[in-house]
Amino acid sequence: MTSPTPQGEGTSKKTNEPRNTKITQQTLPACKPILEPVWIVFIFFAIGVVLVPIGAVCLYYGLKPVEISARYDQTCVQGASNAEREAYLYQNAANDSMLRCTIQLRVTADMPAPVFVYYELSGYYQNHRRYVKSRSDMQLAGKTKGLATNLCDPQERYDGNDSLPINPCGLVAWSFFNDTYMMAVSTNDSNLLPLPISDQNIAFKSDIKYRFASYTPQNFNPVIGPLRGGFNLSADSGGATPKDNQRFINWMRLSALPRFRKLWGRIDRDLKAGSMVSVTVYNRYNTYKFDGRKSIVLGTTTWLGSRNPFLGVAYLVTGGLSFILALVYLVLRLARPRKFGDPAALSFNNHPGASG
Amino acid sequence: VAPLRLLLSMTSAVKRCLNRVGPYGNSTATGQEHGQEGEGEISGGVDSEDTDGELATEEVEEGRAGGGGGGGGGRGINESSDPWDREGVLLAIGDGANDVAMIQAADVGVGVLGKEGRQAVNNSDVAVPLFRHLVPLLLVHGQLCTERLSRLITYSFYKNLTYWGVLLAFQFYCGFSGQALIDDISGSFYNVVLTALPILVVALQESHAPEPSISLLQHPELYNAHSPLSACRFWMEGVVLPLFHSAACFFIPMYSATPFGTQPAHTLWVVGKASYMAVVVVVTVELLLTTRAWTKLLGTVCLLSVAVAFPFLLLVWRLELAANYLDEATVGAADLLFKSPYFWMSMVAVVSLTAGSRYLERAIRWIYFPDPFMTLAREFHRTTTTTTTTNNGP
Repeated sequence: MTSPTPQGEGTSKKTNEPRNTKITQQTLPACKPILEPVWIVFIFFAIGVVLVPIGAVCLYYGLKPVEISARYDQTCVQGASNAEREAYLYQNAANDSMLRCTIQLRVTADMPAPVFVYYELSGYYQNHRRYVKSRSDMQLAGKTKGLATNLCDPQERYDGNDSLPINPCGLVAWSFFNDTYMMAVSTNDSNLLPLPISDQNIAFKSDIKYRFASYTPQNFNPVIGPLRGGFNLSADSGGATPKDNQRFINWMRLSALPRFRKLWGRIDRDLKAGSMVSVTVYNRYNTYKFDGRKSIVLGTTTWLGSRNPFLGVAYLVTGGLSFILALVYLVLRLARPRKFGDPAALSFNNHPGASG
Repeated sequence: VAPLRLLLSMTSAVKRCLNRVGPYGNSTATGQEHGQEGEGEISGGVDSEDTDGELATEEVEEGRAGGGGGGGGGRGINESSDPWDREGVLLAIGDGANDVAMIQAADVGVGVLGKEGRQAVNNSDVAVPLFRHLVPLLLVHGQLCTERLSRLITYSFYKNLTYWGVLLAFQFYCGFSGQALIDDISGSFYNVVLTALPILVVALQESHAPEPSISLLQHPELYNAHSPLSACRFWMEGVVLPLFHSAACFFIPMYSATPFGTQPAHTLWVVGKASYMAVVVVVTVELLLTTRAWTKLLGTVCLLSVAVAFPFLLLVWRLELAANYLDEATVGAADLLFKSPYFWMSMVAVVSLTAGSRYLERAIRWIYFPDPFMTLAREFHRTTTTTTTTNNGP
């Protein structure tokens, strides 16, 4: 295509021609890949060869951590139904010793230190939008400027009294998990030794450093809540200020799924296979109202994380499918070869195929 | 008389070209319509008293199916000027001031720069210097343009639906409360920064035919042989495919996440970031897999788009902190994620699942159900490699 020549425009060299570069003429050198059978087989085999070993490794390390757990919300409290259990909880809320029970966990395999103690809640929607919004991160960090606590409603003012602001406000803080555990381990000589659970070094370092400040909470769960749940911030719950209470920090980190675990403590001691861990549970938290479940979990980790075979399975499935497809295609090519790129094979073409 | 003969020979050349039957299909529409119409055909006469050529007032009718459109001159168009009455797209070409009405009334008005002055050109959609340029305009630029537009439209739906699909899938897990798995800042950067440039480059540069200025002119029958944006292609590639891809981007990070000691990799916003990064990588890889012309520009832009996402996430919470704004969604999340093997392993898993299945579909297409341009590409590749001519641009 020729460029337009200006007619009678005078002797000026200025024209409206577009620049004649590769990019304006759309002639950039390009690689135009053509999928050919050889490459296809090769690529699928390569995918299979790479993914299957990765999957095997992920599966091995995903199944390597040892986990022992037990559900305790139904066994710990008297009652045949959740309504009865909840009624028991309401009656005995002030009396801690009535809410105490013991469960036994058997260590199935050697658990090297550190052994992490989690509590697992099920049917608890920490990811519900209304719950997620109901907090004030600025308040938690001890900032005084730009505070917007109106989202914390109804947990913004204590008893609706304007002169009693709650700090830290919001539903997330108010519903702080208040079951506690004490553990003792006995080996085969049936000597029950107390197992110390540390609540230090259990929270995410960035959280401790940036998001939580040391201040005295105000009007924060001063008495046992009417719904029977919600710890205060004190030495009993793990620390008197938000920054010190790492269990609180963990609670404030919202979970993605309705069934989640949160780190409650760590045991910096090995547990031997065959020993029995006796867990004393103070079952204060009311999950009965919404038919939730509570469990206690002890688990170890590897470099990949806790016990979770999902990633390994995903890799093995993808890699395996890739292998199978490569094989199938190879067989098809050998059994029914067809000329590559034959226009005569085009369905709409009733014209005898001409090449080139 | 000499110009007259030149004009007539040019018109018959164009007609021959558009009527040509080639190995990729028959050029049905244009040839038959002209036979049926009986007027306004390419082989118009010359009225020496009126203008330099009635040629200038002729219409070249192009349509996918069916006829439509009037005869020569503005009168014909006005008879059926309601666009919904006609099937197909009407193109009018002219060079004089009397052609302006016709050019404006048509869907595509082409003005020819010439002795008649600038009136036609000033009112046209496309200006060409010579009449014969109409052929490359239609066959090369027209086909490339429609392919690029259809690619742009389909991909825009695809990338937004992939993002939306992740948010939708999460609703099943958050009690349908409307909680977004991905935080707002990442979400606002997605469309504007991280996925905007690659498709822009594709929409400007994509060429689905090899050496389009040569091959598309050699095979004009391709013009009607392949509809670039059929309903099937749009719905499958633009709506159904992103649902599958978003499922992969959601479920794999969500179910691979485990509490890892003190690292909260399984918490709401961190899993959301993992899903988000997966979506960004998957949509960019999908673009690369379906683009037929890989230029260095495209490669660079795609690489940059994905690469920018990483420092972006690392930087966002630091900037927020500097501005005294606390946000659980971002603080420390990206640092944690990029250090954990869970993130990299699940990213590789998502990309190999989505890209692998897409590559499989492409392979099946290329081998068993090629569209005419794929076959053309293969033929071209074979002839150029066997005759060892260089493959550089014209």
